Amino acid sequence: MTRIDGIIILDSNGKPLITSHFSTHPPTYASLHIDAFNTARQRSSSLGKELDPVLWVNTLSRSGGGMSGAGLCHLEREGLYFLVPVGQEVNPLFAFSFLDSFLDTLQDYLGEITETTIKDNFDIVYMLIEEMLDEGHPMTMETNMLKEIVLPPSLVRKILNAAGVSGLQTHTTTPFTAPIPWRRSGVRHSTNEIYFDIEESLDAIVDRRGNVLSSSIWGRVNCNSRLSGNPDLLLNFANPKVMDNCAFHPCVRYNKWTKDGVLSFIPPDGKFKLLEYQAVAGSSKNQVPVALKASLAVEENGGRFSLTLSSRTNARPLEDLAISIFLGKGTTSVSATATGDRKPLSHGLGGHGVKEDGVGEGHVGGGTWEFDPHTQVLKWSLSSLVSTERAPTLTGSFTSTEKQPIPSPSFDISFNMQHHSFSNLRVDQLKVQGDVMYKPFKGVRQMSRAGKIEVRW
Amino acid sequence: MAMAPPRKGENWELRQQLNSEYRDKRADAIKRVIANHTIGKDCSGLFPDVVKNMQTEDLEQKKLVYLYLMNYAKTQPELVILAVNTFVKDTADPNPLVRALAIRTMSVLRAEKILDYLASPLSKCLKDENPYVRKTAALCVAKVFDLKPELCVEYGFIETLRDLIGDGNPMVVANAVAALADIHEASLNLPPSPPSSPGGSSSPPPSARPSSSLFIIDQPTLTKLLVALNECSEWGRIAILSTLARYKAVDEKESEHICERVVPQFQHVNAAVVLGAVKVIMIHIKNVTREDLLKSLTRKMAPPLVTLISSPPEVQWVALRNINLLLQKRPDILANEMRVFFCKYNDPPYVKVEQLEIMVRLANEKNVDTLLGELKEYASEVDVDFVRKAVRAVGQVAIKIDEAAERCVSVLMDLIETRVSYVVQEAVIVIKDIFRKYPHSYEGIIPALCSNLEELDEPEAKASLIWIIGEYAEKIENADELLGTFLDTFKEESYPVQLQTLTAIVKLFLKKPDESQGIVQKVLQAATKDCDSPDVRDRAYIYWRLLSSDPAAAKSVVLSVRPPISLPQTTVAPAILEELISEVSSLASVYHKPAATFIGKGRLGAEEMHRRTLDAEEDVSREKALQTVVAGNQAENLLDFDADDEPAPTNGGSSSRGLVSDGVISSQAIASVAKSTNPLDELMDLFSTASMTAPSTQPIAPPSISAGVTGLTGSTSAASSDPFASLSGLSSPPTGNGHGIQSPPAYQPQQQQKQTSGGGASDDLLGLF
Repeated sequence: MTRIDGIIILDSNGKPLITSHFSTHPPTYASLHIDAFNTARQRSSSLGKELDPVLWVNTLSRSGGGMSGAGLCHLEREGLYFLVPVGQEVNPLFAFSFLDSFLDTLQDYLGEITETTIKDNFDIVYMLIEEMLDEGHPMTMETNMLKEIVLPPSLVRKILNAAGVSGLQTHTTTPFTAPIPWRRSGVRHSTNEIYFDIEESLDAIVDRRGNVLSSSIWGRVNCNSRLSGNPDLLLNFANPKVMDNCAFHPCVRYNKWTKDGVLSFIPPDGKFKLLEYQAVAGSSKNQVPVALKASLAVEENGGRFSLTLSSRTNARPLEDLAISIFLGKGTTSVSATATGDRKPLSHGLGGHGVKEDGVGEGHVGGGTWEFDPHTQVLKWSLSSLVSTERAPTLTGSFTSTEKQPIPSPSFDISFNMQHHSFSNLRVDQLKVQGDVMYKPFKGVRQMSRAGKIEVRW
Repeated sequence: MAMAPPRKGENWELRQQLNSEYRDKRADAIKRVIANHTIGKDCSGLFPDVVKNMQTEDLEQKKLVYLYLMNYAKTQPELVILAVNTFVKDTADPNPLVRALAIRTMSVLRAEKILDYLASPLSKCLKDENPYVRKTAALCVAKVFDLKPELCVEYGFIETLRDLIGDGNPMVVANAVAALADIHEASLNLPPSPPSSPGGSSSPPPSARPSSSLFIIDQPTLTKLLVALNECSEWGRIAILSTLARYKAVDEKESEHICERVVPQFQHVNAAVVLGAVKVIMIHIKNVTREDLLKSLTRKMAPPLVTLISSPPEVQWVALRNINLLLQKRPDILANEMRVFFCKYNDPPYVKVEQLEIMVRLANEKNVDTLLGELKEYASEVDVDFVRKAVRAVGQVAIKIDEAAERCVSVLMDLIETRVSYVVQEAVIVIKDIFRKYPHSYEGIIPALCSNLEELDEPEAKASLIWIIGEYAEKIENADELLGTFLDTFKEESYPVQLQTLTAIVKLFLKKPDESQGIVQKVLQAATKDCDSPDVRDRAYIYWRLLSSDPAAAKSVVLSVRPPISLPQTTVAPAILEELISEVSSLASVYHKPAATFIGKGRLGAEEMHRRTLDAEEDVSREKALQTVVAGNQAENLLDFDADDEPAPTNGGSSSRGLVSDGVISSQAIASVAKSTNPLDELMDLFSTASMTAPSTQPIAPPSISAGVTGLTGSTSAASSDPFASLSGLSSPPTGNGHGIQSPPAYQPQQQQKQTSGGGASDDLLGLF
């Protein structure tokens, strides 16, 4: 019921890097899935479509005779494909959740997930899978505990191996005796510190008159805990009411939250996601802090555009702004000028002309723009924007081999706002209780960014 | 298993290294063996050499050797016995990791011989002091049960497992629950007497085979589970939740209790836990009657689902599929949340399509303007499929909300003005539906539609426009001219267009007999002489006969008032919806078809099998067949099927003169369609209609087969392969009885045509043959 069949990792060409956990299935089981996936992927990419996240694969049944089938959940990460066949009536989200935490763990172990790192550390990856999955049941999923069992690759270990010294296992011999499943016992840190990152992202659709059609703010509180012993924490928010639809890490005592609106928990060691929430919709909060006035006119074999950007918030400067749009198939080149208050930019001032091959790149006071002829995406980037400065603009035109180019009907906007939270959520205080005798260093940081914001033209 | 010829060089080299006197060389060789295995190379030849390396102090090396054993023990069952001693020794190792590893590997080996040695260490490990060993051992029981159930009974492992549900460590509890659930399922699959081949991977509905269930959840267990639920890891919670979904509450109080305890799980970060909790609630809410609790549960269910929409696209998709299903059951849960589902241009298409469907479901008088604005926006996008769906959605809104129909029509007219070919064609198809729902309301737009005549090149769009022209022939001055253009190319047109041209011209003739004498002659000639489709030909004969024998009857048949169409509330049949709701969160809810139709072996008929084989060939056809299976009607294809007509065959069948057995017809229709290799798309759509009518008709129909058989196959398939057949077929009003025509009081197109051909036109047909 809550069981997956196994896990397959494919490289970017669809060749298997790792297939694990299919020992109870017919030998062809994994390859059937790989073939089915590759065929489906090729077919859909030739049609320019995307695959449904759960495919249906016909397989031979285990007891032989007759056809059987399995759902195939898959996702792509860093150009690699991760497949999880489920031969039973299983919650597909279970498969995706498993993949998700598997990938997190992998990232934690390998630093980055690439074909090379997986190939170089295949034994670790394999052992991890074996430890995380027992015949499709999740076994040990908490990174804290996994590290006791499967040692992460480290330089020291590599050297030791190279020197022929092995068998140096430093892990404790009594794993999982800790009473709290998410925290290993006997944690020690020389400096006791805990950090909370409040990250919020804003999704919005803005119509061509600048009205916000729909918007929502999704927030999460990430925590990095480096505390010794078993500290029992009590986190108070100044305004817990701004949070709606909260989802908590299992360590949070839910009853306490519903009763008092405080988070009471014994944290896992290291980084973890403490809670996710949706900010309560408010009139001003869901305002998009940036206004883009855009006009785009499609003409024969091309078109022209004119964008004006202004900040609507006095709170904080908007940073790393990027406005991008897909200009349609067949777009060959773009020429544009950006204007704005001149300010010292790291790239220097003054515009570059359009290069011969049509790849444009320019630097001016109003930021920089570039056009990628492969993806046909025009991207205008500005390092920062405040409400007081003259509104930067980008005007220009593009040419296309298509007679009637069809650009994407909307611009995507992204930006960051440091030390700001859309919902204005604030941490009031953090109390440390439990069997600890120290005063930890505490830190809270706020970060807001654009999630998926699109402005139609 | 076909053994590939091993690459001699490499394996030989590995063998040398595995037997090397240096430890690091051996360790390195084992790694290389595993590396070869992971990419799918066959390493079974090295079995004895690898087994020699089992005894080692290095835990990592031991793990790798055990990994190898797990994968290759099956290929070398005789040699596995070599390893047994080491295994048994390791199960008593001071290091719990080694103990767990050994017991786990032994249970995975799937070798009977090993099992005999496994029993006593396993019962020790189930009571090990270390929770890690206990939880590993718990899962081992399930594996052993899969291979040798009697062993588990003999050693009382299942009772031990049940005790472990009360274990102090939540992870042990979780695994015990998971193991018991597996055992329960496996036991359902066991053949009644000799347990020869335990399948273990499918779940027949409990009703199919009442079995000696081994995991009976009694009330003390339930209490333990509910307590453990809040302490477990997310994975344990998923296991517990799926077990709770299976539990049948004894009374309402217990259902309430379960719901109350499960609701906090909505607040979990893990999407799978959330959806699992939704499932449990949906199942147990059925027994809840307390109004306030019911309300609060329904209210609490929506937000967590909406939160899932901010997840990565694949999770989002699964969530949307489930929301779509839940909305069909409880349309009120997200009434004010439509904006959340607005599509963003960069969302993956599979997500957008789901969002679109949900938006239409949530449409009401209050939000319809916003929705129409959005839909118009989507219709200007590049993705043809999505644009078409958006245009269809406009039509669905028009049919769903009477007050908004006019606004919808004006949106559609705006869209037609864009002159983008696929938008225009889709809009024409949609407008035809609107005309059916609101006859004689928007005749003003007909000229504008007709001006797009030459731009239409898709059969469905053409047929739709022709239908409109036929319907309003008396209002369109140059109707004969317009229809004439189609007649000129009659032979080249596809069958649906031919059928529609035929019907439209007949309508025209009935409305304006003076001007269209010539054209109707021509079309009847063309359809009976030059057309190679039996459907078209048969219908032409029927019309011909009708027109020549009794024009008044023809009029009442062809020009009758049709029942208005309405938007189906559900995309799946109500009974199946009920079943799907209890499978929310599972694969079934993603495919929107019951698990029994796609999971499990040997319980499906040959026909089902055949259909599923076909499914694999094409995703599109899978989608279609999926709807076939659930016998649902398609919201998009309103013309195909009227919810209103659904009960009709029953009445018609009972009151009909019993000339021909309806049941036989229907099942034959199914059979012929199922076996047919006709590539027409509509066929699949209509199939759903046909199979829908079958069960309701069969029991009532008198089992007689009679004269109508000659024309039977042709006319039934005519009805099923053409969406418009239902139109003209439906023309037969109840009042038709009053006239002297042969047609019996039948309400269903198949019957109507069949009867007519069987009775009235039979001489003609027989003459023809």
